[in-house]
Amino acid sequence: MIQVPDTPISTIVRDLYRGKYSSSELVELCLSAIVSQDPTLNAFIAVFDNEVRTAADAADRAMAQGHIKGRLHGIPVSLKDMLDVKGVATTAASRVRLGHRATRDAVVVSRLRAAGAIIIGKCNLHEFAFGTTGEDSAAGPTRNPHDHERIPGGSSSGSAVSVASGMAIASIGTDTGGSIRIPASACGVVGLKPTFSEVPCDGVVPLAPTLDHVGPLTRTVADADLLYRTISNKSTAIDPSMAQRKEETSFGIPRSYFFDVIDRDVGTAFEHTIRRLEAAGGTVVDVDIPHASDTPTIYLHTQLPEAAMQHRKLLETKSDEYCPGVRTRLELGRYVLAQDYVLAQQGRQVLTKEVDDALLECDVLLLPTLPILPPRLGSDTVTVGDIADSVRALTLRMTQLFDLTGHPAISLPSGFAKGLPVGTQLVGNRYQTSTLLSHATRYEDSIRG
Amino acid sequence: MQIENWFVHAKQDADRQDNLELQSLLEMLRVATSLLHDADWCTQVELQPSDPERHVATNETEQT
Repeated sequence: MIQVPDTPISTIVRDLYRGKYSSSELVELCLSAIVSQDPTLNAFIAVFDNEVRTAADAADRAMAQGHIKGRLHGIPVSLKDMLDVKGVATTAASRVRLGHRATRDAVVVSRLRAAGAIIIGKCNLHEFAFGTTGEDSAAGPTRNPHDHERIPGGSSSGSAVSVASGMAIASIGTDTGGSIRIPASACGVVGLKPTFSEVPCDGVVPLAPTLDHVGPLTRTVADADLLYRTISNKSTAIDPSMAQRKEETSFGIPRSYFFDVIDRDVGTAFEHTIRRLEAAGGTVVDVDIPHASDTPTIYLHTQLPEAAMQHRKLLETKSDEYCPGVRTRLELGRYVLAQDYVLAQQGRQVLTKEVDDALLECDVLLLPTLPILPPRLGSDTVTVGDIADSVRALTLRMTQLFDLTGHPAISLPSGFAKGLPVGTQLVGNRYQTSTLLSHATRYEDSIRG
Repeated sequence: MQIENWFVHAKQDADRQDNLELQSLLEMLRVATSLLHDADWCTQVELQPSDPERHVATNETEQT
């Protein structure tokens, strides 16, 4: 029996081509991991056993005849259950959508299939992607593979867990306030939120349309790049200007606000990451985002009414079928005045310019992905220093700004604290996701430690 | 309508539903809305156009 190869997807596809192992063997490894681990971790809502085996067999036969469908030929990929797969329910982890059947694939799913990916199943999530813990789900809570009593982060909880535990080689999630990066950090995998609107949301259940992003969760930055290029329909592997670039990367740290509330172990791990980046030749400067502290209130007045608008009809007819916590937050959105929503959009413009300005002083922003270690399941609040704050507010603290502004951001694993994964976030210029990925690739080993 | 008046109505609505969590979240929203209104960029956007030559009429400042 082979092991799940600990190599980038491009190497796996090459090895498949050389006959080192088959797609069928790869798929059986993932299915076997699902059988042995998912009863505890609860990462999947649906597993397409039969379809996956048939698709892997077809991929192997095509490969044997020298036909490679694309860069993801024969690779098992999981999907957050917010993305439509033709003929299958898109549950969004909610009883509200019982009986749903998608009539076509989401655009992202079509692009994955065209590149040869095999959709292994649909992953659990925080209901309707409206939460950061992965606990509120009609399918039950997902658990962190590094400590089963702790949250995996959300809302793309099952996606991160599926990749971290070898149940899929890669996954696709969505990110409205941090829902790709938060679970990536908590589970020790890579999570990329591309620039806003780069990846189409057609066929993806909306949460807050001006904030919603689709992106990959993977084991390496190279894999994130491969998936990103596939789902955004981009062909170039690397930003051409980066290929010739000699100078090292300058990292800008936005200290104020982001570092006001941070767990001591996370802070220590981040300082170690800085030392490793400097040892690798990177330069580190402090930068300022003057109104960063206004982020939560601007986010609240944007996300709540947009989500309430999306759910207005279902809240009238199926209110009792939502998880209570999600329903109450959706109802809260009805109380945001239109004038305050518009005001918040003006605030977004201010924040967007300030992040743009900060990026004039460095190549990428550098900050932790989460200010805390993954909390225990069932925690409402976490105390950091002398401050007790809600798990929701704390988990969104480092990530939600970049959903408001649309800047691309990636979370990379950067070691462990108290046996739990810690993530580091890099943020790049808008519409330069490839450049961000190039910087992340260059320093991936240093960030991992 | 003053924002405090709006939240009085909102809280009465939540009371009618007997939803304690919603009542608690409404208080959080009230505080957040006050912060939104107090933001210095909010004042700048409304009253101080970045180009001083540009005449920006607002309903609050125009006298007829």
